[in-house]
Amino acid sequence: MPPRIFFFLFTVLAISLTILLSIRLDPQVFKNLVWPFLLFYLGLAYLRYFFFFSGILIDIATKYFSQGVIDKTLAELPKVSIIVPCYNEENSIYKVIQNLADIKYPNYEIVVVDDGSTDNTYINATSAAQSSLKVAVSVFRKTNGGKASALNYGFRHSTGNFILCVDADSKLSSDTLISAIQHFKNPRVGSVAGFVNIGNIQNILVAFQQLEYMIGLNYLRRAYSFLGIVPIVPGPIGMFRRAALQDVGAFTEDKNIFAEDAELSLRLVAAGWLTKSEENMVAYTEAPTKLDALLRQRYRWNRGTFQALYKTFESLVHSSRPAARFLGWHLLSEIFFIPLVNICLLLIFVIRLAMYGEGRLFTVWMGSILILELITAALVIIKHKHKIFWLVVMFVSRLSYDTFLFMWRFYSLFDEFLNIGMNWDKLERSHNEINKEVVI
Amino acid sequence: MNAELLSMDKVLSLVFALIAMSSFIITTFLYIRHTIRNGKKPQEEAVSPYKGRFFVRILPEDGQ
Repeated sequence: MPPRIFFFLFTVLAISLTILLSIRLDPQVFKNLVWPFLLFYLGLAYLRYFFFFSGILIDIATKYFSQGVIDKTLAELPKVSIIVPCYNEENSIYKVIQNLADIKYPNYEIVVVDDGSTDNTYINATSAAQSSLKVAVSVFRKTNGGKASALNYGFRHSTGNFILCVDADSKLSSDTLISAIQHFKNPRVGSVAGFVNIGNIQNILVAFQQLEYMIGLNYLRRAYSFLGIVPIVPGPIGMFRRAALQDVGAFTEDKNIFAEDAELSLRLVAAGWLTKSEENMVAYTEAPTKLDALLRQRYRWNRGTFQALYKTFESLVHSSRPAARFLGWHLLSEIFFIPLVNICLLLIFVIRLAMYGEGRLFTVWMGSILILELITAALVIIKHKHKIFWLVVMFVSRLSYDTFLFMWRFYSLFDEFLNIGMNWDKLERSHNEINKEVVI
Repeated sequence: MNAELLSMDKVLSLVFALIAMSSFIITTFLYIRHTIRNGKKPQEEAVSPYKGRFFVRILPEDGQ
């Protein structure tokens, strides 16, 4: 049986059984059956957070003691090539190139790949390249083939031993290259993931996303970094060793993979390369400001991540690296089992409350998870001296945005199991100046 | 005290139930809308003539 069909049938069966048992079970039997499971599941949740906390703390401690001060006096810093794939970015490409030309690093080049734009991207990029006095900028133009093909094209036409891939709307901090290159002193490190922050906090929806980036996407990545298994080196800012990219065949151009960054990162991990993260390597990106755009983005992310795991799962769980094997199973639970169990618990709660007036079960579960997430948020807020206001945002977000998004993830996966067609849906940019001075 | 705790328990349950149900209804509605819109939209073709290959052809404009 194809795995997708298995996942689909498993999901349908689990939900049907949950509904049936929630309706039919006697309160006493229900209590004896569900409470032990719930406590076991809560135990697993605490274990998961323990993994994250320990990883984050060990990563911080290791960094502090081993390389707390960034070594900026390296005699011969290796050459870095920054690759900027772009498609119809005529409004932003000039500023992006200018921003990249201001990075503090003695030895780098910028390679812009216009992926068959139908607007003036190429002309604007060329104009920016000609006005760049400090750093060499090459602009290439090719027929449209998707982001992965543009990245591969840039990779082929670059000369640095280290490759920094950025999005055409990313704005980078000036310490990016200096901070990232430190990790490559270890020859086993194949890539370094940067931190992505949002530069356009305009409304509560974007504030929720910023919180998600701060904690879910950026900070928890540090826990993975400790084991060298960062599962997604993000598109807006990720640095690679040329040898590692050559080893695994660079970005996949498979049109059925909608998260080429995740797929590449997982292939690197499976091949034995370490994937790390670096908090001083920061990109400011533009987040969707409207619900519709956010949903389309997340639909693509959810399905893309599953596609990446689906493709690399075998090589991960049969890898010679124990950490890679752990990552394969861990991601399967994060992407599939945890959302499924959460949906089932939600169904149990709503049905039992409506039919038998039993609500304590869910209150305990939701309350416990809420406390764990507030502790995580508090740690991040204290560490980065953010405003306490973000703790309030966290509370509201957990009770609305998060619940909503995990259901959306579930629906996206459902479509993925049924192999329903999907499109790229390029995010429409406002082209407003990304403000990296937003106080968070 | 017990009565207070009990009522707090009920209130929290109802709040959580409201959140769960409203999230479920809104997400389901949006999912159905998304599915209908997605169905109407023509699927993008694989535009790359280099599909499945790592190296790509260099066009005449290359390097300008």
